[in-house]
Amino acid sequence: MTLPITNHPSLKAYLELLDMVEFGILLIDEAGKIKGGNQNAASDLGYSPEKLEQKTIFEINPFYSLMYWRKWWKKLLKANQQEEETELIAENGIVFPVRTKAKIISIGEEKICCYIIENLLETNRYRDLLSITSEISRIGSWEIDLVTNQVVLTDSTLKLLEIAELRSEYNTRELFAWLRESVNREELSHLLALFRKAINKGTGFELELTIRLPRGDKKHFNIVAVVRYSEQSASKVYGIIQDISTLSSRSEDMYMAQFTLDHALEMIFWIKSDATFSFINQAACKNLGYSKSELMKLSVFDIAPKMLPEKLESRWQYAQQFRFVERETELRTKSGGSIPVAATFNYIQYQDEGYICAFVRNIERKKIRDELIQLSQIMLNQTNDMIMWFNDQGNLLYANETCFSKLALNEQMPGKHSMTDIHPKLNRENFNAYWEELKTRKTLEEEHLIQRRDGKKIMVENTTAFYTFAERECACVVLRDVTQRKMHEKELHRALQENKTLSKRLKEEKTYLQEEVSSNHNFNAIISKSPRYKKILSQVARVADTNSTVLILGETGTGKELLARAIHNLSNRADGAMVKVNCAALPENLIESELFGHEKGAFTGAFQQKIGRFELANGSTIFLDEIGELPLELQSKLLRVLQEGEFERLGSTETLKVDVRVVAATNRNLEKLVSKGEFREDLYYRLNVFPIYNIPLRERKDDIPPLIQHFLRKYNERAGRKIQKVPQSAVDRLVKYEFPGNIRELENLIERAVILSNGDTLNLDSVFPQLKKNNQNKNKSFPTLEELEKQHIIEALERTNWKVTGQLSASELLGMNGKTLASRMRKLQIRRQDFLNLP
Amino acid sequence: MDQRALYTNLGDKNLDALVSESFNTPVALVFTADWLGSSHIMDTFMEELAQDYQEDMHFYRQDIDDDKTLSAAIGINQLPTTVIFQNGEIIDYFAGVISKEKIREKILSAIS
Repeated sequence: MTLPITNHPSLKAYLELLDMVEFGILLIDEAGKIKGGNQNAASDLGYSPEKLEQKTIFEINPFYSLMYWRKWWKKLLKANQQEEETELIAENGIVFPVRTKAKIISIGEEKICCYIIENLLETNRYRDLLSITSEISRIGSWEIDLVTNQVVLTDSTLKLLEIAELRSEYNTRELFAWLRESVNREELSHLLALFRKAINKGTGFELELTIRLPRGDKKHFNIVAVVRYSEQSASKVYGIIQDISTLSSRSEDMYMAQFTLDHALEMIFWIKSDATFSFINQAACKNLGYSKSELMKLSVFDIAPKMLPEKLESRWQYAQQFRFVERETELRTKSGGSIPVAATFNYIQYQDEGYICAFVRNIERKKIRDELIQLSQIMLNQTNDMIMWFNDQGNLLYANETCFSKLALNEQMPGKHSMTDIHPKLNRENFNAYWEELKTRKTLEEEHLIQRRDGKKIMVENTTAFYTFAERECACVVLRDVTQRKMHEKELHRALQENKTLSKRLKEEKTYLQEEVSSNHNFNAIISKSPRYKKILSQVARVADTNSTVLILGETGTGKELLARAIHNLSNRADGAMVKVNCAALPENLIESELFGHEKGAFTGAFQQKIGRFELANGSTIFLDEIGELPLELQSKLLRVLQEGEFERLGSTETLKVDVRVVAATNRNLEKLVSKGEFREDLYYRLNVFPIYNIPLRERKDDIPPLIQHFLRKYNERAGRKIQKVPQSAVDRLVKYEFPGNIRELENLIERAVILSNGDTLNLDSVFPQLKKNNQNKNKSFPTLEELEKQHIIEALERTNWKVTGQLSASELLGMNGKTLASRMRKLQIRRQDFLNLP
Repeated sequence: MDQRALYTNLGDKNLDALVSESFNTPVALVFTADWLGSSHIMDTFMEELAQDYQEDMHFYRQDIDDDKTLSAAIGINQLPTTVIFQNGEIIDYFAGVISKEKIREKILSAIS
């Protein structure tokens, strides 16, 4: 039977023997339990031998844990003997250095570690000294075993914390319960945070803690802790606790001074004469982005780019002389940025050495604000608006430069001016009422005149706004010079009125012209009983909705344009406007550009591009009147349009393609012109696809009576007459008349008769002499149509004193276009000089 | 075929007769005057259209100088005017001459 080791007779023998050894010796089993120890060991550790036998190695060596011990045991078994220098904790909490030797011995069947301790403090003298030191410095020790949750507090710790129950061992639960009672919540959570961090990272910590002691006093303690790591995890935390209350109260002023320095918004630098720093506060580190240690290694030249080494001496002397210097400069941050600062340099003599204590304020925000204010100021002064501020008494507080340059204000004494000076309706009597109105409505807008510096009066738009600024009532007045704008508005208004008038006139003219066209060329009002003419109308009806080119032939005044319009309006192109070109009415040099258009600069005077009539008629119909007068050189171009639908504008190489239906008309004998070489034969055949021969009035005499009635109605209406009767004799005479001018002549005759008639009967006598003259001619040799036309034109010219165009002219009398008449005159060789009665 | 036979003078037919006729077949009636040239254009168009739509519509002309009763009854104040009857009602009318294609559209609209 194996005896328990404590009772083993060998052990007792060993122990008695060990008492004789000068070193302390402990016998420890594999589980770390102390099985016994000699007197020296018990004495070094401060335990009675009985108490020592209740301990474990882990309780006396803060670096050992159970895991560590096991490994260490195995190692010891292999190596037989192990030596190390470590520390042990005595019962009173004092840690003392030791050198240990360990060896495994066998006591019975059990293996025991013989742990020999050489106390490096040598003797109790050191321990006592340590104890005294601990008491004087008011320091205690403590240890927390993270494995067993045991807390060891030394006697001095218990004393410092005034813990009545003098135990050297506590557990963590008891410790935390005590801490919760004695330390305020904030400080406790800070302590615990540091504690956790220390355990996780294996680092130590130091903090000041205020502890409420059982007697009610509050004391400041400095706690220092270190973490013991074994097997890569924290096993123990131990450290000291020092009562610093006395120190604290003594250094409170200093502490507060330090706190103030560190928490000041201003950067504080103590600069030595060699430009290095002896002190830098937290604000300096924060603003410049350096840590304190980094910054302390730098010099003024590193952070103040404007401070050059060669200037240091003179600056130093200046500061020395004046003691106090203020300057705005800039500092360079760690990242290379620049911050504007306002610095105050104080020269201070401290312990025989000169320092410059610099208080430096970051003015970055102020700078930005200042810049914005400056910009606003510039803007206010540059604007054309006159801006002023007035107080509730109406006194001028501020006026921008525009006010002084434009208005008659005294720049030297702006405060002398009042709101009544700039507002014509304001005076001392009504100012209060105005101010009340402004307060109620917040903004008042009006326009009024104001006298300029040069004495002239200008129209201004006045916007006055009410504001409460810094608890004061103010008004901001903005005057805008609207003189020019008013002038432009007036001009615009006048132009608008003119435009309206012109537009109205144009509308009226348009209506009139539309009526004219519809009354003159309204094919719905074609009057005819003549079977021959009906045949012509039938031709019109049949050809209308084809796309064929139509050539209308017939004497002048037979109504060729009427037929052309009928063809267009009864065709599928009726939605577009028929474009008419009178080939005889246009000068030869212009007819090409008129028909086909031209580009800008195509010829002298071609200032801009012109769209020709063919382009205008695209998708519609073009009516080429007097086609026989078309210059030969243009006939080929016209032929190409007819055949290909293509042409080029004058001065352009771009070929334009159009879809135009051509209706041409002439009173000339085109066949004759072809034979004379004046008209291209191919063009003639191309035009002569569908010829319509419009008969002269003399060949449709049946139509004369209904035509007389028709024109009578028309001109009655136009002249506001009520002529109802036409003497049969007059009708008969007209029927007998040959009408070389055809229907146009008949129409003109009736129009003249309507004007000249009185009462309700049409008086044709006034127009008969002309008829007579014509009829008389009948008895003579038979004149050609051209001779008759010439005679008729000469007659008209003589009646109008050779006025060809305009009002009361021959062209008006003949009812034809002035240009056509001029063309006909050239053709018929009618020249005024031939009819002048020269002496 | 005799073209005239398809576009004939209204003759003795009165308004009641026309209205009755229109219940079976739509009727186009053109009011014209012999002295009016445009009426002749209208006649030309209607003769051709009567050929094309002889099965679908009856075509008549009425010279107002022959009888003004009907034109007065309908209220014609412009010549030529064409009136289209269908199912006893005037369903369309137009004053003046319009293109043959436009008249064709109106006929097609009436008979469709």
